[in-house]
Amino acid sequence: MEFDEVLNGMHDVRLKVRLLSLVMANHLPDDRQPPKSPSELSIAVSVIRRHHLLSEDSGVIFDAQKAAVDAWVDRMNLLLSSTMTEKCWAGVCLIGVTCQECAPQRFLDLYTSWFQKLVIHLKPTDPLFVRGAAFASITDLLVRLGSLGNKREGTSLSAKLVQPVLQLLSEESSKSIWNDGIDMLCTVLNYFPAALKQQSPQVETLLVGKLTEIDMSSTVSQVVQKFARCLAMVPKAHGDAATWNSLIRRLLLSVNFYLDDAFKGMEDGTLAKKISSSLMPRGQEQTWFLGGMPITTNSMAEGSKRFWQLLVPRVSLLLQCCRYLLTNSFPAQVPVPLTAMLALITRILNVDGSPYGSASVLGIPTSTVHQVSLCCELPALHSCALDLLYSAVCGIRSQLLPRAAEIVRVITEYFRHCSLPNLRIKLYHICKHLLISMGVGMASELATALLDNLLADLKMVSSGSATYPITSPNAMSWGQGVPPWSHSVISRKRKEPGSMQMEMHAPLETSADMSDSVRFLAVQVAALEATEALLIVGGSLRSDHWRAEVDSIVANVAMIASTGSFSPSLVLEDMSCREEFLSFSPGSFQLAAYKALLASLLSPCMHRPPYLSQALTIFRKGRQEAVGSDISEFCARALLSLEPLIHPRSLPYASAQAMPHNFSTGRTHENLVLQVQRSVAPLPSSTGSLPSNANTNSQRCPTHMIAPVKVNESGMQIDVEGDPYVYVQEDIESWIVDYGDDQGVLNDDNPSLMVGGFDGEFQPMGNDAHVDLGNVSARQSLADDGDRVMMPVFGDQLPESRDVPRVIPDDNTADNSESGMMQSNGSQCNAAYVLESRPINMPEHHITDVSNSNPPFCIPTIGKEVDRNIDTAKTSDMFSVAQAVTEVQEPPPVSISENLSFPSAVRQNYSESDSDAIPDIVDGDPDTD
Amino acid sequence: MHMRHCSLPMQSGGEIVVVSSSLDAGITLWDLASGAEVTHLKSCASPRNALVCIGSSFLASAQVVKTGSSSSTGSGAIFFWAWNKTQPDIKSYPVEPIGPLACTSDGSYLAGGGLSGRIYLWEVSSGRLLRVWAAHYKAITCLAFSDDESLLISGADDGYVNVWPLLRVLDSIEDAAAQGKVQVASLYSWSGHTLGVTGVCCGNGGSNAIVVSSSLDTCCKIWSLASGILLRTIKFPSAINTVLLDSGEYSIYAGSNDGRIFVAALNFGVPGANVPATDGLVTFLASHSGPVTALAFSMDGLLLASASEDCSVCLWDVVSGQKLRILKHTKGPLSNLLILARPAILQHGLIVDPQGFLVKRPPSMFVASPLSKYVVTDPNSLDESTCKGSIVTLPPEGLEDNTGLGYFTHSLKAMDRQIKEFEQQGSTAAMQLELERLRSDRRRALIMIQQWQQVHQDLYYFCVEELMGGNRERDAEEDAEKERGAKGKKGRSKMTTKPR
Repeated sequence: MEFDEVLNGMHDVRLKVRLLSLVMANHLPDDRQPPKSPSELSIAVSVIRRHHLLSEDSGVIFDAQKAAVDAWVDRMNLLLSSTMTEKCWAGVCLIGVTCQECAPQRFLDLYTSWFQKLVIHLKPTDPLFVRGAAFASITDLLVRLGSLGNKREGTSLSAKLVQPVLQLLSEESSKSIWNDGIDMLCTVLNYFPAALKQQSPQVETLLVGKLTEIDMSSTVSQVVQKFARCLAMVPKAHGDAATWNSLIRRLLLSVNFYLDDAFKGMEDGTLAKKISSSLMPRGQEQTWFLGGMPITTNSMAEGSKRFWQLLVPRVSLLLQCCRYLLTNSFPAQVPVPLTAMLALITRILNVDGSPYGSASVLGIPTSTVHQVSLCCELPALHSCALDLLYSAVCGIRSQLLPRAAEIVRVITEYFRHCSLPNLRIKLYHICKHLLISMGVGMASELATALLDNLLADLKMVSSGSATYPITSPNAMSWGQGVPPWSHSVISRKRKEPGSMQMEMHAPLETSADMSDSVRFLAVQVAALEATEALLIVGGSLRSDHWRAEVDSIVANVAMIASTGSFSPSLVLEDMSCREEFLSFSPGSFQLAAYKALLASLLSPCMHRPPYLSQALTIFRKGRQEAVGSDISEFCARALLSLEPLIHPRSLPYASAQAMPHNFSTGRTHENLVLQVQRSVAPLPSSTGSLPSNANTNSQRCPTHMIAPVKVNESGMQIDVEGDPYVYVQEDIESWIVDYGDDQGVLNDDNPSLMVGGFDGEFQPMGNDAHVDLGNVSARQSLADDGDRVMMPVFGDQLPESRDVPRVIPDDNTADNSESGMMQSNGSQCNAAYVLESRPINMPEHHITDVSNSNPPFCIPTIGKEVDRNIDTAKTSDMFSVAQAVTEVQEPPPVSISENLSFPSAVRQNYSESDSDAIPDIVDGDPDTD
Repeated sequence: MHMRHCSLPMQSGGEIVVVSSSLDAGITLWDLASGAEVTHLKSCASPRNALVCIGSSFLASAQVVKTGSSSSTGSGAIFFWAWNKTQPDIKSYPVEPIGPLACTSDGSYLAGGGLSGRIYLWEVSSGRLLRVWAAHYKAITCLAFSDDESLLISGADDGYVNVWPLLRVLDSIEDAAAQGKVQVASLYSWSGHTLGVTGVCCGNGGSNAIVVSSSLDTCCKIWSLASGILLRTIKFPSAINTVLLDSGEYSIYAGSNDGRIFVAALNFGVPGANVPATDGLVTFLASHSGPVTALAFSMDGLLLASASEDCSVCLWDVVSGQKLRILKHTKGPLSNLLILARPAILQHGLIVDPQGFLVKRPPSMFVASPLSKYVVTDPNSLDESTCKGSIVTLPPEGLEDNTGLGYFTHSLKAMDRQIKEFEQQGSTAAMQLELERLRSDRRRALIMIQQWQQVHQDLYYFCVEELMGGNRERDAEEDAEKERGAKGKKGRSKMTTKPR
């Protein structure tokens, strides 16, 4: 081959040809030479994969490349037919790589011949490593064939593989390559399930045998998991609902039978009987097999020495298989035996190691040994049951609806006496997914049970660090729901004056002492995630009684997390070996806390988010501090999410130019006039009868912000306070100039319907000046009045003014030719109307001719305001985060926008503007300085 | 994955307008973009709010009960149509005439409102009637699910709007044996309307969503799901038949009895469209000569469709308020309107996924059964065909990591693992490799031995023959040997001389 030409660099296509030749010459075993070291092969493969040497792209040097790949393929064939095992092995491995890398056409041309050559090496006489490599390579070949969509060919080829695989898996000696065999079986089931249609009973028997094998513990757990997964895929061979249903029922049944002996004397047997009667088809008890034996005889005799050692692995593997069945796709809709499954879960969770009351009466002896052994294994069994429930929630999703109430009961009941950290984590995860998949309805049902536990768990964070007192007095009033480990009293369902009661709980008590250890951090992370889900889904539906408390605790935890002093990475060092907390990484506590905080801010409530300023500080700090981590990424996203909360807006349709072309095809946009959907008329606020949440805010408000407010009570009450947009309105009011339009008012006798009747003397008011939301009756009586139209539209009669998006915050000068500060950014800054506020008893009087497009403004002190705001911006800059945490009870850092809001809004009462105008008013943007 | 691409409306074949009539005029499907008729499904006469799409596989409609037959049997009818068949695929006959229907977005549950004020909730896949409960005092006129489908909102002729938490409604602990006599507590019961409720619509926002109800008393009322209070009442000049929220919840669109569609802004001062306002309150779109009975938005929210009893469908550009197209339905006054993604089965041509691969139309795995009449409480009494379980569609893709089933890494992994083992002294694989090496050495040695043996044998035979051969031969050989010896000497002398 010509190697004389100089390449143009690493992007030269000719490089591929040369590299391939080099690889073949230097790294591949040769016919003449003795075999090279096996590691040479991995170098060759990495070069091939890095440069995609085997792909063939059309081009000028297409022929050269084709020839090079041809040579490669020839060499593969040579190696495969070599008598030397090592070379043969190299050839087998490289065929697998070639299957992945080569061009589709070449693969389709050659795969049959490769397959024939690889199948030869599956013989049991071949050395194990060659067989393993051959299985792996054939798996790759099948994956490629499957992804190219060649079903029929693949099925016929796969059918030839079933016998070798079954043989491999039944040989005890070839345990080390079971992994490759099971991978291949899974691949066949995944891509060409029809190939296993005939042998599926054999496969099932074999796999069940593996799962219940005596010395399964000696096999690598990963492989055992794969067996379970593969068993769950076996129904795909038939692809019908009946097979699937039959398998899951048999699995559940045999688990049920296994537990009979274990739970003897610990439960009343009715539930077990109910489960088996609902799962077992009538009259087929003797003909229902699992793993080659009738299910009924599968139960183990307790007498055998290894009963307890075997019980948990078997049960957990069989349930694991059920989980795979539930969470993996299936080509048909399947009937899930939900009743029996939930009953089985309940059965397991109900057993807590205490002897069943009537057991002694019935004369069933419960030996102490039995009880101790059971209590030893119970956490693992409970964990399996919770895992199954989790998978059911994930797999069946909203279709669980008919059973959802039952699940809620199970969870509520179990939460009450669940104290082991990893079980609590699982419970929280289940709750989280239940909430997300089933929405508000679930939130209202689950909230009570969840909240008691959440608050108790999260309280430990705050109490763990005494320097950070809880800000809100509400938060101090902890409910009765403290997790069992912090009390020594454990509510017990079945009380028996027996001797064994404390046995199971003794170890739990000791674990309570390690309250700062990582396991509790992990519980808290799970609790925070569940809190987040609860706030996301059900943050506002009938949440009055818990919302304030949750908001406060979440804010607290986030503040503690932001200091970093609570970093779990330190604690994790000594505990990192614990398997159940592997998913728990350092920083996840912080992340979970921040996520919950964001959810608590964004979740709608009827007042301002009370911890907004603290949250902004935390997020800003997090964005800057931990660059490159998930935390900084999340903090940036959180700041973006909060932006619409701070600058609420309702925007016009996008203009035709701004839209992608394909969107506007066939639509007429000629008449499209940009119009701002103007925000609501501001509401005057009242300081009277604040909700309790607001009270907590007011305590934290800087005193200088609180000033006498003159509010017309009637104006406040008449309007649409209960509107979900009401907080939006307030926020708009806070910084956007007021506007008004008498023409939109229908009821002239009650002008305050639209606009709160300000009396013209506006003074700054405090943060706590909220609309009275509690006054429902007044609102309702008004709202119920059908004749009153509560929905004025201001802008409709002022089309021309919309075209002049000017807001001129200049001293009384209605100069529309000059672009004011607020106008500089733009097109969306729109239609400014001025309403002269008037006392309520005064008939409407126009100050401004609204059809005039240059409305005058009365903003005499805007400059001063800005100055003041900049001052505050500085102070908030200096406000360090450490302070933020330690001085929570002091005045919180007030964000610029809030700070600007009240003076400007209330005093000036100026017209509306768009949200984007804000940065122009204030020079010091909080994020830029 | 392919299935997912198919179901995305933007990528595949656009949207369809589906209308049905209160007379027996079938269901007509138009292409939204072109206005061409796609197909016509037969034998359907649906009351208002009674046409729903079940998952993406079926259209379902309750049927107007003919006066003659209803007096004799008293039962209602719900028909299902598959997309590709013009006649109803599944016919079910509930115990009483059903008016409005509502279906969850995945097609799992179907709710129907009875003439008597009872609500029926079916599991679509098995046809099981999960629960019947008395919800209203008069006939139910409209049903809607909340956006997370955990609440069912019903409106009825008695002027009430009720909100039902499905979770509690379906709680199996309660004795459901008595049909329709079960008392289920509603989450909210709103009694603001003075006349019958005609439409309900639930906005976005989960727990903080708003519910809009329209009524014959010419009002639309906006209720808060979070607090359960009435937020606002909007009075219109005419009785309202249907109400719709746009996806951003900027405006309410209310179809009235006088043929106008009123647009009321939800946010103060937000005009929904650029049409001149009539009274400073609301704008309206006017075109129909008969009552507007149904409204629907296209997927992008920029196109509003309205169906009227004047037998036409109008398509409006929401932004400009202009009428874009009128679709004429000659067969009867329209009562229902839906805009749906065009189902794959009704698409022409080949479907190509973004990578350019041809997508085979997946066979629908969605099963539906005739809806049963009665609640079955005892699960054991279900016949074997239901396999003792609620029928569930499993997630389309495995939730957990598939351990690389779809990736080509098996041979690589196996190779790396084996190489590692080879390099590790004393490991099984290394021993095996060594063994194999030794074996092949042995094999080679054996071959060598054979060769040597062969040579030896040849030599042996040769020698034996030499010894045992005849004298003559020996003599000749001796001569030859002499000769050779001479030559050898010569050669040797030559050899010796050479170095010199």
